[in-house]
Amino acid sequence: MKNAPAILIVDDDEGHAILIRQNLEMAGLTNRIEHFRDGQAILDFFFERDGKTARPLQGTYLVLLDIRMPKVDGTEVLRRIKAHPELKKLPVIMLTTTDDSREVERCHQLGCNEYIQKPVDYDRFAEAIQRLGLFVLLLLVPPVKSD
Amino acid sequence: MPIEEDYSLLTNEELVMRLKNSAAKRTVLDEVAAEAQMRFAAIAESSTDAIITKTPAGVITSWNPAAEKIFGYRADEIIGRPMQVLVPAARAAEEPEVLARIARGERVEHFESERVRKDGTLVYVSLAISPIRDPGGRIVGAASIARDVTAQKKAGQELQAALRELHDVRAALDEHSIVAITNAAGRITYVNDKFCAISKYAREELIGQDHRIINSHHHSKEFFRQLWGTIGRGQVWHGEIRNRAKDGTLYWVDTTIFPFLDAAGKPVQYVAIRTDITRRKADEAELQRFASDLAEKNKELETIVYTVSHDLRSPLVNVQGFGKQLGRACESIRAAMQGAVGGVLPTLELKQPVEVTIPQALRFINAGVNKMELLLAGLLRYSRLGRVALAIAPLDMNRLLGEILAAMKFQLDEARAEVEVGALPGCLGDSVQTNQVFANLIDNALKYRDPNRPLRVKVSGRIEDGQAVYQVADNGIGIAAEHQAKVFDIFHRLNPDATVGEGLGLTIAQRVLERQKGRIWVESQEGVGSTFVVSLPAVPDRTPLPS
Repeated sequence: MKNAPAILIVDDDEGHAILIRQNLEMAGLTNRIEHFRDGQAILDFFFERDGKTARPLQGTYLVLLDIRMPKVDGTEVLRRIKAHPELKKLPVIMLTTTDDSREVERCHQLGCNEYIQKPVDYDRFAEAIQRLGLFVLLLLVPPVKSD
Repeated sequence: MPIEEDYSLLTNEELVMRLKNSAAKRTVLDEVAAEAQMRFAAIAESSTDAIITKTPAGVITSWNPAAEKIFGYRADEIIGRPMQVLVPAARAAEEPEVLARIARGERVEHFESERVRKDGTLVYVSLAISPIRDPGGRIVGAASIARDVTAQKKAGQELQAALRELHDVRAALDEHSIVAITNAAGRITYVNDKFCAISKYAREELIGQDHRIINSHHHSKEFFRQLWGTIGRGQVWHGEIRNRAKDGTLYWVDTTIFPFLDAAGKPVQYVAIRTDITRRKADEAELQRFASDLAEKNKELETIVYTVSHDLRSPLVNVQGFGKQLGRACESIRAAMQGAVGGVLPTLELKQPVEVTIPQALRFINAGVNKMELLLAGLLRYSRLGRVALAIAPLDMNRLLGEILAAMKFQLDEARAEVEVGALPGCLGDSVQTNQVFANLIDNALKYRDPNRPLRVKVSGRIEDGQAVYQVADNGIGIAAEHQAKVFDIFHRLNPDATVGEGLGLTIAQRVLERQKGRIWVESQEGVGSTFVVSLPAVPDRTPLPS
């Protein structure tokens, strides 16, 4: 698929990242998948060292973003991405263990595209991630240009 | 003396004298009598007092219009009837006594009594009764003059009732309140027993003084300036005042000061009515303490709930997910065993589950379980913080730091760390908990030291705005500006892989300090070092109380 976006999993839990990747692949996704260990790592991927200018990017991306992470948390990453005139086009899907309604509210206010809770029960977890994979297959993601 | 003399110009006494002494004719006497009769009639007609004449036996012989107005009887109804008709039963003895005195030729001077009207109602009257004599001096009757004093009597009674009521109100007020009266200059002119009781001063010690005698210096000069401004303008002041009794004990009074004004509207004296609210004030303070304790507990609970909803769930996802993979690996091994021909296991098919899947799954399951245990222990530790009773006392911080460094000597020596402690001011805190805070800060300096240079820690302190402010500065790896706010978050760890710990040290330090009215914050530069700043209440100066 020419337009298939690279999937960027941002999660401090290595186990979660492995399980997410496996289930996406089980859903038939062949996209490039990359894992970032915390919020700072993904910000460094998108931004120059000044934290404001977008780095030169190629292709399309989809961000699966956890919230509670070391250094910079997911809501801050979301805020920074959605505050950038070009990067805000990136689809950002919050994928986190908490279902705290205030957290859901805050992420939507900041402009997240979806908010999905990671179910603790593995069958439901697998189902949720595989459905997410099928959904991603249908997405048409706009390319982002660097500044 | 000419016969045509105008007798009307003579006084009664002159007339009688003239009549007695002269040898006037019978006709002259008749004229004089007629003249006197006319005079009397004119007076009786226009008088607003009842003028009644009666025989020595008390039978009414004349009745003027005022008598009709006062008693309700017309003259023709009452003339010929005994005066006793007008006397109420309770005073029945009065009339015979009056008649007896008249018979003796005595005047009965003004006295107040009651009489009965025609309609049966009572009328208050002021009475005067004089005997009537004939020219020979014989008593032929009596003249009663009666004035209706019902209105005065009523006004007097009302005044009496009002005075009694005033007395009762004052007694009730004294029974309930602390009362003092001061003159316009603010000098105490009256205090009731309750005032003496609460202030513990004798009445003589208070009279003539002003209220400064019970001033506790709790309130500002501005407070009393406003009070005097209000009552000086003739307005009522209401508020709560803290006073000091003679023995130094403090008490709170809810106070109303009511100015008494003269005709020009200027205050002439002030009545202060107070209620003892010392107990209520203490209760309010207690309530406030409970409320803040409750808020603290609530914050604690929210943190725990959030943590449980996220941090505890995360490892569970791994335990479940990799548990499933373990199951699947078992399945594939079982399938391989069943398909084994002649007891020979196919190594190729077993290689993936045995060498990759199962070890990885076990690694994540074990890590998840360990993490959950760490989190649960941390949560317990954190939640118990609020239950530890604090013993706040002045702390010798140099001694406290000395103890901490002695306890950590091994780790510090191992890291070749140099710790320099300056002269530290004392503070008010709980020694055990404050020790934990500083031990944690030194431990963090050790953990996050820069491996490329020997660790240097500098502990210093100063007094600033009534707070003792301490700095623990290191030359470690430092914290990037954008990460500094998060270091106090529960279970937050900047470098989870680099060091051990559950991410609670600074969270606990912050909570412990908040409970001791202290604060903690960080100033840091990445790659240069971190300075953790702790503030705690300073030990108050032993200055004498303001007088």
